[in-house]
Amino acid sequence: MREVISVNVGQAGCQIGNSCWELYSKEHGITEDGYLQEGLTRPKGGEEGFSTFFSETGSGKYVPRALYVDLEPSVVDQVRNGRFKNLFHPEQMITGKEDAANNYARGHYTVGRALLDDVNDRVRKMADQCDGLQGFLFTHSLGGGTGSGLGSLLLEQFSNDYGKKAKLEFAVYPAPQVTTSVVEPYNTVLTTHTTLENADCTFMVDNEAIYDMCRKNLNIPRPSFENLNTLIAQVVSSVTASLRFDGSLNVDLNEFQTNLVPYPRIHFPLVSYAPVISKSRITHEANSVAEITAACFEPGNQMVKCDPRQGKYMATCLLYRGDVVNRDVQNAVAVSKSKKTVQLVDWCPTGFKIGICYQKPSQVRDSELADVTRAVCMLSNTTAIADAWQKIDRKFDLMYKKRAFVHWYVSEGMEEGEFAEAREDLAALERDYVELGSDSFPEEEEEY
Amino acid sequence: MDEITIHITSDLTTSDRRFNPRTITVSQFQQRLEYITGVAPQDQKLTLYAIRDDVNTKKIIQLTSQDSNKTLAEAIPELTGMSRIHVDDTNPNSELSQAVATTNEDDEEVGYKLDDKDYDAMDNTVRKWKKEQGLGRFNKDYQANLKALLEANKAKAATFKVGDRCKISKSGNGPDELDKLGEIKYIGPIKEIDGGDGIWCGVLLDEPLGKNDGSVKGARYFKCLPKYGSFVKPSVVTVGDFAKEEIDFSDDDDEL
Repeated sequence: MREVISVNVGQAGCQIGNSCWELYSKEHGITEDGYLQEGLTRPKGGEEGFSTFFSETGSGKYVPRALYVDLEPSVVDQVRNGRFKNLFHPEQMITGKEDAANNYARGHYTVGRALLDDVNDRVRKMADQCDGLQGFLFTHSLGGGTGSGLGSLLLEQFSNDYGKKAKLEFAVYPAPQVTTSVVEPYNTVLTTHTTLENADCTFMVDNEAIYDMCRKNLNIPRPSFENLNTLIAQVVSSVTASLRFDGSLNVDLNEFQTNLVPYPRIHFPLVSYAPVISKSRITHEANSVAEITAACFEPGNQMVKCDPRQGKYMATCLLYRGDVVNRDVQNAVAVSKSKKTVQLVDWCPTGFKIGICYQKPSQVRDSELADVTRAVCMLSNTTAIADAWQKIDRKFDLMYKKRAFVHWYVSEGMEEGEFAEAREDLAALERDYVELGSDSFPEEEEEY
Repeated sequence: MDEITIHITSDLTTSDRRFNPRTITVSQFQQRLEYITGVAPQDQKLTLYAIRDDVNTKKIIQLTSQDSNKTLAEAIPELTGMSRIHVDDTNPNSELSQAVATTNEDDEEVGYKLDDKDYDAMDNTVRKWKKEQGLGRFNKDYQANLKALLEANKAKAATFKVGDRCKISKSGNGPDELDKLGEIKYIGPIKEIDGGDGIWCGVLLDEPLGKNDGSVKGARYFKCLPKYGSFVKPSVVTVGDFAKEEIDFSDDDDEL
């Protein structure tokens, strides 16, 4: 057994977690209260894959290997009282009484730290129930106080307590249209600095990109946070499908790192997903393997706004789901690789890896997403993602120049020097990407 | 549960927050708003939209110091889970206003600068890894290969002269990779492209399939109409007696 424990932290993390577990349950044939759907004798997807994410109790009930952590109770209370209240064990939900007020320092040092013992105890119990724990899968936002502060605190803590166990994150990156608080740039830079050494692989999801996808592809004129989080969950489910179902690629957490991360700091693969298509449009689209593969190279299908045509690829994994034939995949990938816009870092081993899982994706209740027979998720480590750091670093600088709101952090006992230290680390990260993009052999066929 | 979700907006932020209007006081609520929007309680001007997206339900909320210990439900009875509260900053000299003022300056100096030598001295960087592993330019063969390629291009360029007819051929078969005919107009370095390291051919194309008018980033190497100019490496150029494909623009066709 190769169990994975999901850790959902803060408002965004918990809401994405909810949608994820709804999808997982549906995909594996589990009802809202944790029992097998009628007509099934065992969960869908093979024992090995299923047990990675669910544990079985003596009474034939299945329980997600998941933890919800939030500093204030209201969001998790919605889980406690919602449709899936019987799916989870009450002890899997840990909440405090006082929120982080969008402040990294409160999440990391003061209010968050007070919750640490409870979380540690619970995780220890969950880990003890595992035969061979692979690691942890975090979902949290980078901009919120709990997501950034407590999220990074837990990552640090798990690094100490669980040594080499893999730690992957899905991290929601702040976006101008959906800025939830003025200090998001501070929180993002601080948490990125803290987790850079502790996370093995971080899949970033930019709210702006998701927002645009909801509007353009799903015809939702004013996407709500629920719309955004539902779409994010679809992507998370797609990335984890290879862990949950029998497949060939990325079947364990460490493999993501092996396949995608050439150097430990450069662990932010760009995620693309296709098709993102509404119920009303689906009848007009063929969604062939060739089309959905090509779509992954279109900026409109990326989870982070950046331009890979201006960057260089270090590694790429294409994870297909549903009705897919290997030969179609090989052809589609060959076409994509031959494109001029797909440039590789030629001095470091660069591979296109392919995984196929025959289980097609599901949708959560009330989702705008169409039911499709096949989908693909592309994970590519490209230097273009450095744009995201550049943008947030600049916003940080503009506020930090005036030391605006820094006193909120200092009054929680954080030292001001941590701001400078974090900012320097991110400057080095930006420089790291420049280093990766340089030294490729001159392109002989370039035309100006 | 008496908690409701209230949509909070300000000029810079938008978020969904959960509150219990019967237990939270106005001063606690305004404190929360400060952490979200950056507007201090004494500077907050609150506008209620009873229905989130409906401007017809808009109403300015007048709060006085007597309200601060009231509950939110008492102070704003119209508030429901459908509502939005918009927060404006009334103080032009507030911390937020000043932070925003900087945002509008197109000031390059604001940004944090990491000197190259400081980056070079850092541990645990990609550059250090490249050095240690002999990758990229730190590979012992890299410089030699780079030099060999440059020499090959120089040697080939030495056989060209300005005024030669030529063909540009690339390996792919996309629209940008079709063979193009033209005349060589320039042979030499172009510092606007690669800092002057390589050698380039400036070609006047027979057809408007190029990228420029004979200039690169403002520096002119030869003169032609827009789209007729192209700069390429000698390795994709072949010189020879390539006849210009005449396109007949005579008036005869028009009369047909």
